[in-house]
Amino acid sequence: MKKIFSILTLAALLFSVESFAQLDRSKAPEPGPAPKVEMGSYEKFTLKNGLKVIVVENSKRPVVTASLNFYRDPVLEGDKAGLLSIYGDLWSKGTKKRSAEEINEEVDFIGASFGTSSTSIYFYSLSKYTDKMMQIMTDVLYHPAFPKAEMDKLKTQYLSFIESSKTDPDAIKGNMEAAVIYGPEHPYGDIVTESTINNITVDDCKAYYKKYIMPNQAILIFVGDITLDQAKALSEKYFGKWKMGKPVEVSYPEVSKPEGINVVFSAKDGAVQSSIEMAYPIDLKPGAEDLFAVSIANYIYGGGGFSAKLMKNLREDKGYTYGAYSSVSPDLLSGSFSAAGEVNANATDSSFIEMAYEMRNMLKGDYDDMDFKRAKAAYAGSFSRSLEQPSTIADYAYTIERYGLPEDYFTTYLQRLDALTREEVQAAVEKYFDPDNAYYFVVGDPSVLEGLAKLDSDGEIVELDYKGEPVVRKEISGDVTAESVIESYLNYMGGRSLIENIKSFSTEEELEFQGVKQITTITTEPGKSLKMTQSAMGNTVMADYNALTGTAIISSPQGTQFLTKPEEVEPFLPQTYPVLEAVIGQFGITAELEGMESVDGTDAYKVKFTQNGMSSYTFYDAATGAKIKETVTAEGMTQETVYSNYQKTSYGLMFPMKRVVSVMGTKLTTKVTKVEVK
Amino acid sequence: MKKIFVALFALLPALSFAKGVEFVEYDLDNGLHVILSQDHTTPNVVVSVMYHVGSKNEDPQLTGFAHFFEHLMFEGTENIPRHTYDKYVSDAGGELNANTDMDRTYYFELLPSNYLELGLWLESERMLHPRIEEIGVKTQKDVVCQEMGQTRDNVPYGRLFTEILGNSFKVHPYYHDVLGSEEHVRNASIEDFKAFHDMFYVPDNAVLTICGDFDLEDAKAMVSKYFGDIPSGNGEFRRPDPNMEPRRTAPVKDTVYDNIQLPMIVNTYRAPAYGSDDMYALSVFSAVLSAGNTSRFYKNIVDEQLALQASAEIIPMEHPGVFAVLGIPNMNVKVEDLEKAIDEQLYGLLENGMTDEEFQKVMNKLEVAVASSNSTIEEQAMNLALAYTYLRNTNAVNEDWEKYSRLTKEDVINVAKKYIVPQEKVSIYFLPKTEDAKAAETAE
Repeated sequence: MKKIFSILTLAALLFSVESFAQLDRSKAPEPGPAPKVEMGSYEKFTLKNGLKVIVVENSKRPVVTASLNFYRDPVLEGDKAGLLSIYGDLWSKGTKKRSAEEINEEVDFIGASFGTSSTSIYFYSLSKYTDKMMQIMTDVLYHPAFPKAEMDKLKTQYLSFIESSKTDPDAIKGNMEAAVIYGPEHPYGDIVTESTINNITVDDCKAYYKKYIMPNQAILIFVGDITLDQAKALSEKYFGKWKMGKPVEVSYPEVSKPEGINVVFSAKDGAVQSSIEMAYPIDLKPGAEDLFAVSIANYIYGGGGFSAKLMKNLREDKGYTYGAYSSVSPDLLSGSFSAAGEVNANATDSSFIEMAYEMRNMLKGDYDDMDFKRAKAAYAGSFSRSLEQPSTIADYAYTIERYGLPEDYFTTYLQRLDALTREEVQAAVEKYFDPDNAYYFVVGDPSVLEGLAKLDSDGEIVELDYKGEPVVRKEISGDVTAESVIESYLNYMGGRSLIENIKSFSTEEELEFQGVKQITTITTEPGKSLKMTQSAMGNTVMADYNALTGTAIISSPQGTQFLTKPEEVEPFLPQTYPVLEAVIGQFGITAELEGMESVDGTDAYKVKFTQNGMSSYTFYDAATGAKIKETVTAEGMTQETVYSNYQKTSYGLMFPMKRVVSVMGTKLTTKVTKVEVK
Repeated sequence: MKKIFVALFALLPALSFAKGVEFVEYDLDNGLHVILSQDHTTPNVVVSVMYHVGSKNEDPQLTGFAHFFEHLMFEGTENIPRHTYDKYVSDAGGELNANTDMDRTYYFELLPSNYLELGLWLESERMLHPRIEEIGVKTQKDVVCQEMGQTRDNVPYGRLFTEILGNSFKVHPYYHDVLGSEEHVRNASIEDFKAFHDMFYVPDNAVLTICGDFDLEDAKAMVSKYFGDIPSGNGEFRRPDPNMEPRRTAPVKDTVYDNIQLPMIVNTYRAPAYGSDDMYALSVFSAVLSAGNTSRFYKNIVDEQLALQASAEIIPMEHPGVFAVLGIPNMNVKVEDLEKAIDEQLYGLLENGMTDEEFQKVMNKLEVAVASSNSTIEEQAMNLALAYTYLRNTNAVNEDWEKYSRLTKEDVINVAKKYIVPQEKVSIYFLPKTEDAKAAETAE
């Protein structure tokens, strides 16, 4: 049979070789008749205690997924932000019978996956291990131990993670949105910080468990190699005796829309690209009647990848970005609209202008019928493709159950999509697209602020730090000048005359970084000489500068260098002065008062020093006069130095015994171990 | 038509009862290899072309070309105007994309099944006569250089892969990354791009794969219609010698200062080529070290708070490539201490072997992984194309479990000993860029 079959095919091939000459490549081939899309089925039933169960049978692969999903109103975490995440991770870290390690071992040995979140417990395993996994799942459900030691481990991990996300534009943007759009009274306004993580206790987890974990607020879903009868038997066996609870209902303040354009900025010094997002809340619930219409509108605008207006404009035409996308998200509490991308720093403002421009085109109805048809086709196509995975059927069944949608919501999906008119889409555009009232979130280099100020309705940009907290700039009285700030700093240090009388000054200090200890000793004679020794890991670098001869010698394991050129030697001279502020006039350094800012809660004057076109910023405590912080930006990166632990030396000079230098979230602490002044 | 293969999955041992991927394959006269695999779960198809060209095939003076072509190939063809290639697909409700690595470039369309012919027209147009002209080249140069900034230079650990390759290879062109040099891409001429195209984007360097809901005979006729008349290349392909990279005789250390918050340690060793028997053995070895949260790394390093993450993996490469061990130390843990802990686990396993239970556990995990693989037509198409392109054995997609289940725990250790050798260790420290760290560096 096979042979005949292939001879026939060969004949068909020869025939099509004949037809090459007639092939018209200039036109796209027409599609065949549209295929019928059929959706796989699911079964559902409810236990006496209110637990709903959904079953999607599919025996193509010998695997089963089971998930127990809890639904509840969103929880405001406030000063314990991060509780839900920690709870979710901690839930599976031990029961009264099994330690975290034993759960791991049992699950891992059979190659299964198992996990918990604050609203679910799930597993995925070969179907031959379904019963075994149900035992573990329900042990965690009924007898969690919430061990303190495991919680402490989780906290350490979360703190590391927070540290590493301090400069991550997406994390910063998330915090900015939480703070600005939702605020502290709304659960979506929760911001996780070191202090909120440290506030969380085991009792908080136990309280959460008691309040929210109950069968009448849960949906159990089985997908895969399991029959309805097996699912029923397993459900009764493992969940039949689970006691009902009392659901908690909470209401939250309405989320209001912005008025005008509000630019919200967070600095990432030296960033070559800005992470930008235009966003505002919308009232759009899951299953809303115009959800299809607004989704199609969003697809045409920025949701449709390469064929969307945003991508065509910002990527293909302007080359501002690698990708820009928009999204419309329905939600029971507060839906949202957003358009975002990573754009070239110098195109930050232009990118917003183009985003708004394309939005106005949508409002004018300036899109082709083809755009509309394409969006519908895309939704139909992706719906049809999604049905390949049995888990999709379960997701759809869950959505119907969770949001109380009609049973035929997904089986009539393609019909309703097909019936959608352009007028309905235009009505949704008018209802949800609002280029004149939006937040413009930007994480980028401060050099982009000038262009952004022109876009802001009142010209005043809100500046936030990475935690979404305002960067405060206070008014200062007219008689404060850069000179008076410097003078009060000198007074704090012991007075100008005391400083000018210093004959020699030496310090010894210690820095530890990644296990490497570095010891530095410096001895200077102001205006005359500087000797520095720096040693780490058994190696030593020495510098010896003499102002009278105008020479410097630097010796290191790599060799010895003699510096005699003025441009190489001159930078040493200012460093011979232990308090540079006392002599800035000598070195062509100019000082300018920039204003007042809060440095970790302390009001401080900010003074900008400029020398040879390079600038640095120094912050002086407004109350005491002490120097508390210094920032320098070079090669696109900002280095910050925080001074603390001022102590009076026997000579009478005040000196900061601790310096913490941070760059890109890494902190290095230098401790001064000895100071000698003559 | 040369051969018809039908997978005989029933012969495979032990694995419960998942079906394998069935397919037929043959060559056209112009050398195009064709793989057809039917799956009628939903009325959709995947049309894909894998070109056997990646960054390793580039002229070392003109790097980034394979990836650049991935972008350029969306600029249209003689019959498809600029900005419309993707529209044909999206108008049909489909999706398209492409990706590039060191060894191959892959283009694909997901389409409703009644648009199969459209997919073939699009891919054949692209193979026959893509637009390589000033305007498209300029636009894509901007986009590609933007991508370099976004994914490599401006992202924490974005240079990880670049540094791994640069340190692990000195002779084999694997030494440069896929994105390549911005300067090379910026300065390249239209002629440079045309020459690269003519060498590699030809039917005798490509595999056409169709997966999904279609009629076999219709599909064959359509393939001939659209691809049969595309001329072959001149048969000369720039292909580096798989074994040109000499084995190292001394370990190497390097420190990279990057815009990151937490340091990262990367230790690399030579790894066997994709699909080789040794690769299966070394995969089991790396799974004992780092698959799942009862693995040796997890229990002895992550759980002990020495690291946020620690993993061992083989970077899948056509030629002998890289076995990489990565660790991100927890706060207050010294990089040297983490590296020592990683080495203890790695060499401890090598010296003392694994327990029966550990071996069984890893085999159980692999059984799940194999049972879960190829679950979509998109994944099937990609794996079929890869198996043919790298191994000239398309049925390798169905042979994973057989390869694993033949192994004993002794085999695993014996194979690992061939690759995990102290004198071949490349140790890279990624440290946060700070002024004081630079000072510490000077002091070293």
